[in-house]
Amino acid sequence: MKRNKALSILFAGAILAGSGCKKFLDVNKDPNNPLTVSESLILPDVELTTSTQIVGGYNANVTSYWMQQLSLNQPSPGIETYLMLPNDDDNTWSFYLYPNVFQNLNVMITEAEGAGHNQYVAIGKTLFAFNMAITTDLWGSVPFSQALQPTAIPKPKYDKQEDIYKGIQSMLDSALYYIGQPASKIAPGSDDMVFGGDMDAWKKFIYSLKARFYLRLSKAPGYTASAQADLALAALANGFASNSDNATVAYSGSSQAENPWYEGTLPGAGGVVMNKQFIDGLVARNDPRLPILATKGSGGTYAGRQSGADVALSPNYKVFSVPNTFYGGFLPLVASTAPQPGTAASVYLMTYSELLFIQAEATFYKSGAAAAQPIYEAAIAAHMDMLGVSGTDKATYIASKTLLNASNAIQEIIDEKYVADFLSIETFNDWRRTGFPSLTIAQNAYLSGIPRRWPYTFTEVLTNPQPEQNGVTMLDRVWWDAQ
Amino acid sequence: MRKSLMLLGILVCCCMLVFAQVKPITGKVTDSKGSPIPGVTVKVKGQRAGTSADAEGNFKINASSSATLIISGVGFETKEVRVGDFENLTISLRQSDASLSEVVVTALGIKREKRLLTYATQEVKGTTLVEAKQDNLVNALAGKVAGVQVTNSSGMPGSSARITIRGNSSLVGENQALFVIDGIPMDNGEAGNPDNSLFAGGTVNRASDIDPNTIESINVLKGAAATALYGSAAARGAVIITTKNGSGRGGGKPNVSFSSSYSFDGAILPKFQHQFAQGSNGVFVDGNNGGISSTSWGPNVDTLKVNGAPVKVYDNVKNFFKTGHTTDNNVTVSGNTDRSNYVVSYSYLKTDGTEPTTNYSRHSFFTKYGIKLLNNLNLSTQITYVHSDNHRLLEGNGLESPLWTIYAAPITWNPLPYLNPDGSQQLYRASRNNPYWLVDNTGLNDKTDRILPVLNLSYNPLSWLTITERLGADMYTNTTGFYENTGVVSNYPQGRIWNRTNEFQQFNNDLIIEGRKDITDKLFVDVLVGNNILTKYNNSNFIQGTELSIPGFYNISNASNVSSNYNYYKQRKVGFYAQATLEYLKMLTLSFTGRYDGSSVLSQDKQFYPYGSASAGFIFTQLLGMATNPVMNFGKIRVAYSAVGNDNVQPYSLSNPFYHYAIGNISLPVNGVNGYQLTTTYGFPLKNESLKEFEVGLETKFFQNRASLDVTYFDRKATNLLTPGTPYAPGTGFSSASLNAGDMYDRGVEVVLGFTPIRTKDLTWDITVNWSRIRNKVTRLAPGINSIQFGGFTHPGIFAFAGQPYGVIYGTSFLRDSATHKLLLDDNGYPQVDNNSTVIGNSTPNWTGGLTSTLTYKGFTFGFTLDMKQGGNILNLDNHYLYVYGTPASTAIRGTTKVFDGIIQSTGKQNTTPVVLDQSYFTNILSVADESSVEDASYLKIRQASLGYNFGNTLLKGSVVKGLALTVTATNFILHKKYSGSDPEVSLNGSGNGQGFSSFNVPSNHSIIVGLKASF
Repeated sequence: MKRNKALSILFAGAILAGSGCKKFLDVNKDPNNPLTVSESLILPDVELTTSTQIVGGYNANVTSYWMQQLSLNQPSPGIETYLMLPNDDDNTWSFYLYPNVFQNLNVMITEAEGAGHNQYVAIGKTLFAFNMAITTDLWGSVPFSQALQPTAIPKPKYDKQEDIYKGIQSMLDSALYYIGQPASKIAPGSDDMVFGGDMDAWKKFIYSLKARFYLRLSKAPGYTASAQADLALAALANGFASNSDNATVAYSGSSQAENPWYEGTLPGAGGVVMNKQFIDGLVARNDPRLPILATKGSGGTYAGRQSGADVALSPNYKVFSVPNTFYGGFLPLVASTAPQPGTAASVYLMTYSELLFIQAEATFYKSGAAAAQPIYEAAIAAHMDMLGVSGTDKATYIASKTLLNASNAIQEIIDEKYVADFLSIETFNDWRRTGFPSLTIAQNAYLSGIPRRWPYTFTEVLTNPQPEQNGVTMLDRVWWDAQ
Repeated sequence: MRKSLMLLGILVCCCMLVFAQVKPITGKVTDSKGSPIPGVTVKVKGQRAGTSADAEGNFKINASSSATLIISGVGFETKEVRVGDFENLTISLRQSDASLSEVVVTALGIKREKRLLTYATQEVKGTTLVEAKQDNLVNALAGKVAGVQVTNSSGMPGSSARITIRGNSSLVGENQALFVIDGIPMDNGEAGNPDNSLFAGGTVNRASDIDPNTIESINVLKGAAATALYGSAAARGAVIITTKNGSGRGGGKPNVSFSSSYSFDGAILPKFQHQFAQGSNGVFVDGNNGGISSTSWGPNVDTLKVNGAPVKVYDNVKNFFKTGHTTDNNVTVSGNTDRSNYVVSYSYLKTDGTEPTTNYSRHSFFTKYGIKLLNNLNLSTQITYVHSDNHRLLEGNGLESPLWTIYAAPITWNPLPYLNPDGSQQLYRASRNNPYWLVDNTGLNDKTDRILPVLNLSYNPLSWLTITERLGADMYTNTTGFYENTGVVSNYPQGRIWNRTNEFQQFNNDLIIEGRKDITDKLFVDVLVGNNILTKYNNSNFIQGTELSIPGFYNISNASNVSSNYNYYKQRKVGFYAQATLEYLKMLTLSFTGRYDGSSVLSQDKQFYPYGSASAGFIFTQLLGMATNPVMNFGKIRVAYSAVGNDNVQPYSLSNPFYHYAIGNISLPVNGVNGYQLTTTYGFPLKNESLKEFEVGLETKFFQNRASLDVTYFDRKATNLLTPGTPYAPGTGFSSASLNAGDMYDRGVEVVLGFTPIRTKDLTWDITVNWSRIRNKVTRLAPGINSIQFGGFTHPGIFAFAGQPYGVIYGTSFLRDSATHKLLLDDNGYPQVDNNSTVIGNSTPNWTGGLTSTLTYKGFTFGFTLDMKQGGNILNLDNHYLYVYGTPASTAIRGTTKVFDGIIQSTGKQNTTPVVLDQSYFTNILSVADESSVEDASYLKIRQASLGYNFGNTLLKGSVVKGLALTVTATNFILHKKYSGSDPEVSLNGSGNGQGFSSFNVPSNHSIIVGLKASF
C-alpha cells in the first residue's frame, strides 16, 4: 500500500515534470522579427529593390556594358566581354526577383485583396507586371503561372514567353480595374516611393507600360508591328503626358540610401567608365546632353573606353569620361571631401520621353515617317527638358537632325531613344528588337557575338531543372526577338 | 530502511567503544622498490575516518591490535594488514596492473576504469598540450588523436581552428566536437565577420579562450556510444577537458611553478615570380611614375631599363611580413591538505603577428577549491576568467584585405610611401587600396570577457551510492569592432565603423545519482540515472555607422549615418538519462544507456525524442589468464551500437518571418519610411535528425605494456539531417528551405600504436602512432536536390553532392572527351573551358596520421610530433585570381611552349602542335577554369619538435628552486607538400563547414620557441 502510494506520487511527479517541460521548452517564438506586416511596410522595399537591383544596379550594369554605354576598365574576359556564368546572375534571380520582388508582392497583394485595400492591389500588380517583363526579357521562358507556391509546387514549370506577356497585360488590366474600385482608407502615401500614393499617376504609368509591352512584340512570331502599334497607341493615349509623370524612385543620398549607379561606379567597382561607342556618338552629333550625361576625363576631353580594350595599355581609368551625377555617377576627379551629388540622383523606371519614342515608332508603323517626325522631335525634347538642356541648345540640336524617312526612321528613332534611355535595360530590348544602334562586338570578346539573353542561373538549374534550360546559349534569342 | 541502517551504524560504533583497545600505530608505505608513496589513504577497516601518508610515506593512526588497516592509493593495489602486536609497520604496496585500473573521464564527467569502457576514447595529457605551444587549444590537439581532424584557418593571430571527430555528420549544421570542461559544456562558436568570411576573414573560435596551462588532461570521446549519455550536442564527438586539482606536498604548503616562453614566428609565404615587370603583353607600365596597370605581364626585368638605369625590383610580399613573436607566461600556486585542495593559476599570452599591427593577447585566471565538507560530502568550486584581445586586418578577397593587393603587386612597384603628395593613396593600379595604407587605416578589434564557474557537490550517503549535483555556466561578452578610414577604396569611401556585442550565457545543470556495487565477488554493477537542463541565451547588438565626420576618429558618434539591429536568442533543452553497466569477473562488461531529450528548437509535436546505446567489452586475456604473458598481456574486444537524436538547428528556424529591409548598402528607414521583407528561406516543420553508429574495437598490450595497439572500426549513418540552407527553387519565392533533408555515412578505421623500444634507468624512448581513414558519402539530399553549398563562391565552391563525399569542390573545368577523359583542344591546340560546373575536387583527405616520439636521457628530453595528411584537395583561390595578374611563381614559364596532351575537338585527332603559354593562356584559360586552382592538399609536417633539459634534484639541492627545465621547440615545419600556396592546412571559412579553400588568408607560421619552467 505504502509502496503504491510512493509509486503514484512518483508517477504524478513525472507527469507534472513532463507537462512542465513542455512549457519550459515553449520558447521558440522569434522575438526579433515579425511574422506579419502591413502592406505599407512591404511596398517601399519592393520599390527600392526594383529600382536598386533590377532597374539600376547589376542588371543594368551588364546591359549597359553590352549596349556599349558603359565600359569596365578591367582585363578581359569579364562581363563586358560576355563572360557571364550561371552564378553571375544568380542573385538577381534567386534573391531579388523571385523572393524579394515577386513573393513579397504576392503576400502584399493577397493581404490587400483580403482587406479590400484596392490601391495596394493595383500598385502590387503593376510592379509585378513591370518586373515580370524584365525577367522574361532577360531569360525567355521562366516560372510564372506555377510560381510562388513553396509547398504545393516545389518545382514550378516554365511558361512560354508569349503566355507570360499575355499574363502581364491582363495583370495591368486588373491593376486598372482595382484603381477603378472605391478607394480604401488604408491607402499608400509616403510608403509609395514612386508616386507617393497618387493613383492617377499610377494609372498613367500602367497605360505607358502597356504601350511599352505591346510594342515589345513588334516582331514576335504571330504578331505584327502594325497591330502592336495600334494597341500601343491606344494605350499610350492614357499614358504619361509630361516629364512630371515620370516613374522614378528618389534616393535621399544618405549613405544607406544612395543611388545604385553611384554605388556601382565607386572606384571599388573596378573602374566603370563611359564607352567609346556612346561618347563618340554624342561628340559627333554635337549633342548638348553630353556634359550632363558624362564628365570629361583627366585629359580635359570627353573620352570613352573601347569595349574589351586591353587594360594595361590604357592608362588610369580617370582619363576616361565617367557617368555624370544626373544619373548617379561617382566623380573620381574631385577631391575626396567634395560633395558627390550622384548619391541623391533618382532612378527612372520609365520616362515620358521613352513613351514618346514608343509613340513615334508606333506612329511610323501606322502612318509613316512624316507623321512620326514631330513626335520623335518631342521625344528628344522631353529628354532634354528632363536633363535641363537650354531651349536654344535643344532647338539647335533637333534642327540638326536628319528628317525621318521610310528607310531611316527606325534607326533614327532608336538611336535617339538609346540616348534618352541612358543606362536603361530598354536599350538592350530595343537593340534585340530592332538591331539599333548598330554595335560591333567588343574586343577580346569571350563569345562570337553580343549576347541576346542571360544564362539560366546556377541555383535555378540546380533546384528546378526544366527542359527549357537545355542547350540554351547566351547567343540564342528569346521568343519575341525573332530574326 | 533508512532507520534500520542508522541503528546498525550506532550499534557498530557502540561495539567499537566497548571492545577496542586502541593504541597509536606509526607506519611507512613504500612501493615494491622501497620508495615511499606519499598521500596514500590509511583506514581502519569498518571505520569511516582515516588518515593519509605524508610526503615521505609516513602515517600515524590509532587502532586496536585486532583491527585491520586498509591501505589504498591511486595506481596501487589496495592492501589489508592486520595490526596484531605491531606498533610500527612498513607496508609495501604492489603497483596495480595499469591496464585494469587506469581511470579516464567519460561523459558527464564520470570517472571510469578504462577496462570498463566499451567504446573508443583517447587521452591527451595537459603537459602535451602546453608543449604544443599553440595559442589556440584546438590547434594543440593536431596530430595527436586518431580520427580527429584539426584545421587551422590562417596565420592571423587569434584565428580560428576547426576540430571534427570521425569526419562530418551534418550537412550545414554544426560538425565540430562538443567541448566540455569539468562536466560543463562550453561554447566553441565563432562570431565571424558580418561582412562575410570570403571578403573579410573570420574571428577566433571560443575554445581558444581556454589556457592549456590549466588542463590536467583531455579525453577525446569519439563515437556516439561514448557520448550517448551527453545527448545530442555530443553526437559529433566530445573533447572532455579535466582541469588541474590542487596537488603537491600536502599539509597545505603551497607549490609555486612558473613557466615562460618566447617565440619567433615566420610566415610560410607562397611563391611568386621575380622576373617580369608591370605591364601587359611584354609592354612595361611604370606604376611608380603614374602608370596604371593591374597586371605583371610586362617585360623581363633583367633587360628592362628605366631612364637608362636597370629597373629597380622589390620583394614586396616578403617585405610586407615581419617576424612574429609570442610570449606565454604562467604562474600556478597549488596545495592540498587531507580535507581540501586548491589551485590558483594566472597566464598571460601575447602574440604579435607576422602581418604588421596584428596581435592577440589573453589573460586567463583559473582557481579551484575542493573541500570535504563532511566525510561523505565533497564540494568543489572553480572559476575561470578570461580576457582576450585581438587586433586583426581583414583577409579574403575584399577591398580592405591587404594581401589581395600585395600578392598581386608588380615587382617593379614600390608600395612606399603609401600616400601621394596630395594625400591620396599611392598605387600602381586603380580600384584597390595600398596595403600599407590599410595597415594604418583599417582594422578589426575583438575583445572577450568570459567566466566559466562550476560548482560540484558530491554526496555519498552510502559507500556505494553517489549523488552529484553539478551546476555550471559559460558567460561571455564578445565585442567586435571594425573601422575603415575616409579615403578607403570600398563601398564606403567616406569611411565606416561597425560595432557588435554578443552577450552569451549558457547554464547547465546535472543531477546524477549513481550506485556502484559488487553484487557478488564476480559481478559488479553500476547504475546511474540523471537529469540535465541546458539553457542558452544570446543578446546580439550590431551598430554600423558610415561617413566619418572626422577622418581617423573611430567612434560611432563620428558617423553621419547610423543603422543598428538587435537580436535575442533563447534555447532550452531538457534531458533524462540512465546508464547501467555490468561487469563480470573484470572480464566481460555490458553497458546500456538511454536518454530522452526535449528541445525547444524543434516543431512542438516533435520536441521530445528518445535514444540510447548498447555495448559490450570482453577482456579475453583475463579469461585466458594472460596477464603475465610475456608477449600479449592484455586484450579486449569492444562492440557498441548507438542511436542518437540531434537538434542541430538554430532557434526560430521553423517560422517564416519578415526581416528588416536592407539590400546591399540600402536600408530602411529612410525619411521616416520603414520596411520589412519576407525571409528567403522557407521554414518547414522540423524533427530531430538521427545518427546510428556501430563501432567495434580491439585493444591490446604487449610485452608487459611495452607496446600497445588499439584498432577501431566505425560505421555511422546520419539520417533526416537538419538542413536549414537547402537550396530551393527560387521560382517558389524562396531560394532556400529548412528541411529534414539528407542522409550520409562515415565509415572509418582508427589505429593507435604505442611502443617503447627502450626503457632503462636513464634512457626511455616512447613512440605513439595514430592513423585514421574516414570514408564519407552523402547518400541523399532533399527530393530532387543534388547539391548543397556551404563554402566558397557559387562556383568555385565547397558542396555536398548526393552520391559524393561531403565537401567536394565544384566549379568549371577544362573541356574533356567523355570517353578518354583527354582534353578537348581548340583548333590552335589550347585547352578549352567548360562553363558548366562539375565536381573538380574533394576536400576530404584519404587518410591522416601522426607520430609522436619522446626520447628521455637523464635530464634531456627530445620529442617530436609528425603530422601527415594524405590526399584531399584544396582550392587555391589566390592563384585563381593571381593568374590574371601574372604574379604567381607558376606564371614565370610564360612565353615557353607546350604541346597539350589532348584531342583537337574539331578534327578528333591527337594534338601535336606546340602552343605558347602566353598572357592570354593564363588569363583567359587557366584562370577561368576553376579546375586549375584545385591542388593536392597532402602534407607531412613537423607539428612540433622540442629539446629540453630538466635540471635534476641533485643539481638544485639546497636551492629554493625545486625544479627547473629549459626547452627549445620548433613548430609547423613543413617537410613535404605539393601545394603551391603557403600551408595546405588553411581555410578561409574559419571553423565553419566548407573547408578546403584558401583565398588571401594570412599564411601560417613556423616558429622557434624558447621556454623555461621552474617550480618552487
